[in-house]
Amino acid sequence: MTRAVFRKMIARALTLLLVTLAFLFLMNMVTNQRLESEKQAGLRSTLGDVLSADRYSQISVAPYLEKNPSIQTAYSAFDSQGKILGYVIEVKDETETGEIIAKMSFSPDGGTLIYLRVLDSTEPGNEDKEIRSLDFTSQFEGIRMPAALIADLPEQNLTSNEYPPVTGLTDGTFREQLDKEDEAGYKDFVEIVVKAGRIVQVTWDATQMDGGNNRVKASVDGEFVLANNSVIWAEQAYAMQNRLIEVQDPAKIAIKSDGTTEVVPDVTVSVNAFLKLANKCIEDSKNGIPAPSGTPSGTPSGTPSGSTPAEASTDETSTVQPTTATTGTTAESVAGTAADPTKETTDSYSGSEDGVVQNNQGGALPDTIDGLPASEIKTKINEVPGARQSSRIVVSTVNQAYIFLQEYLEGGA
Amino acid sequence: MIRKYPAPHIRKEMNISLIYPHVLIALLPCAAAAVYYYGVRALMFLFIGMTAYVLFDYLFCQYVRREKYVWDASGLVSGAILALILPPTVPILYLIIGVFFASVVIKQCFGGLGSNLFNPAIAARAFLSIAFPAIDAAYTEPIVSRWSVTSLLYGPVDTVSSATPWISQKEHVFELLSGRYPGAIGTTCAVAIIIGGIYLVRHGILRVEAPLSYLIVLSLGYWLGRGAQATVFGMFYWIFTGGILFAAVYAMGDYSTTPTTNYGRLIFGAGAAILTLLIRDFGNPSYAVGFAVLAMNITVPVLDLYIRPRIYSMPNWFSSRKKEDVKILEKGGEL
Repeated sequence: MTRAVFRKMIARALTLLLVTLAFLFLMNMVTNQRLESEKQAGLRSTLGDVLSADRYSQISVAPYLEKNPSIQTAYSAFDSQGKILGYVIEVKDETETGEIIAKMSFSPDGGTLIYLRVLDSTEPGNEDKEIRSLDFTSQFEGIRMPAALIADLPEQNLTSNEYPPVTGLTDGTFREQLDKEDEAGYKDFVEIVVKAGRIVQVTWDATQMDGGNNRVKASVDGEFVLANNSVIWAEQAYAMQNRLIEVQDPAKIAIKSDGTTEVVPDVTVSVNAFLKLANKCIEDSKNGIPAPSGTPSGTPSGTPSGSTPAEASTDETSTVQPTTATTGTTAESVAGTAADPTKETTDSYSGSEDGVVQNNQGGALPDTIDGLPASEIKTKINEVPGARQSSRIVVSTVNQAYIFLQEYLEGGA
Repeated sequence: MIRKYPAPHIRKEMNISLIYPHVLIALLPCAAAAVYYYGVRALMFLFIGMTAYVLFDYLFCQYVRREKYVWDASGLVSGAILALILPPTVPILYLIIGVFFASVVIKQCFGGLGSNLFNPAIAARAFLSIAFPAIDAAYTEPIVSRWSVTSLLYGPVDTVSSATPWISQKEHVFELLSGRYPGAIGTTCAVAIIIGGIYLVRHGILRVEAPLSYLIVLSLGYWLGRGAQATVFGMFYWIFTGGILFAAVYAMGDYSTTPTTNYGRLIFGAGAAILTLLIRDFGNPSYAVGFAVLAMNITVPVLDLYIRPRIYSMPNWFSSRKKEDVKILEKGGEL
């Protein structure tokens, strides 16, 4: 091959290259807009079941794969005004018998799991059905992250942070409402759910007597604004709800003479009404007076009827259900694990729902759950009976998504 | 002064050392489309495919002390073709295994360049398809995270794999032409393949009989098979997807694995088309084209034996007198 032939070939190669690239760029310009709208329509149909939004934007998971290899896809969800509604993440995790694929949505701050769906599971027998059932996955709706199976938590984590419940509570849903509305036309109400003698769910909101949005929704939408640059009312109500679930007794929340409290960070509003109504609910529980029929449990009046679970969660109705742990289950889960010193040195085996386990493994519960300190666990999940390993994997997928999201948000999203 | 020479005359220089660089240039549009759609991973595929192929060729020739045809670019062409016909999610190890199979098993073990029975790249792709069937269910959406360096390690990320390399018929003609749909990294862009094909024909490298008969019989098969449901778009969809066009241009122009005669190449193309139709409709459609081409590769020695070119001053092989003529000629007589 002579130099002239070589030069000719180079020139031809460059010509072909330029023609092809020009064509591809042109085609890209022509097809981009239509493909994007088709893609958004497709995303709305596939992701809308966990978080309904007008537009989804894909988050590149590539930089996070080394630490979070199980993350499959991640999307930010936006409303029509471009306001972020949350995140949708798909996670695939391996199990001993196959794999579990879960899709879930998170709040904009990444701290609350809005909705979870187990898309695919190759677990054997009935486990597959149980893991995907609403009985199990509904435990994850609206929970604070991270989460752990009750059986996986160390004993001190289960007990040391828990205040004793008010004695004499009967299980059920109890609701109380103020008789009169305030100057803005809102009438406060509190709803409490008691399970196994403990307060497990609290709702504090107020109905607008003119038929408008509830106060939580109004504050999220900017209709109800507090002075002094304080955090929005919905967040303050949320903090109070959490605090009550934590301490179990309104008497343990100290208030000042002006009705405000300093024991709950960021809460600047008067909490008199909340404590008064909470006390009434507790009295109702003691006396066995349930919430009036027609008021769905956990759904304050004003929540749009017919909304999907995901929509209901994003309505910021501020229903808090940080734990579904029951004292009975807790006691059963940790019984004997630390009390019997022989278990640390004796290898003994016993049958369990997951087969034969080494008993001293049960005594050596981990200090971390999915790489997160056990002390940071905010929500405890009941496992599917007879499917602890599969339940654990589902919880793990949720925690992995949480870790990924925190890393992403810290990275300057 | 004009010097006169007796016939035959050589009109222009064309030999192995020129043919393969031309084919390499013709592959550039497909390579460009591959890099445009799959970014760094496509670049890596092409680089590893080509260099590994040349390396294996060199090492094998060194080992058996055979004359080394390393600088004729045939290894670069086969390595590039193999890289382009793989799905983007294929692990690099599989690519290297495929290159080894193409270079050593298919090409060098049969005697090296020009002696191989099968098209090395197509055979290697079929081998990978059989040995690692999961690769046929791993076509991903183009363009997504194409410049992510992470994709070098983990394969395409932020995208969902699908089991079919074909687009649905609701896709528009622009996607069909530009190849913006999940498929093998370098075989979806019809326009790039056509540009490469025109280049090869223009320089007298691609003999059009086999590709034309292949595409014509496939189109006829589409119209006959679909009947009243057949449409013009459907026909183009039928022949532009699944690697058909790519195989027509880059596999059916291979000199050593296609017949030497025009009739032979026509039969070769038609046979490959019929097999493609049968495998697509009744067998495993994931790599129908490749298996059809390989099956017809086996027939090439037979086609070359029975369909010989007419020798100047000799009777046509097809003429009625052929048997008698051949006998006379074999006895050393004259016609």
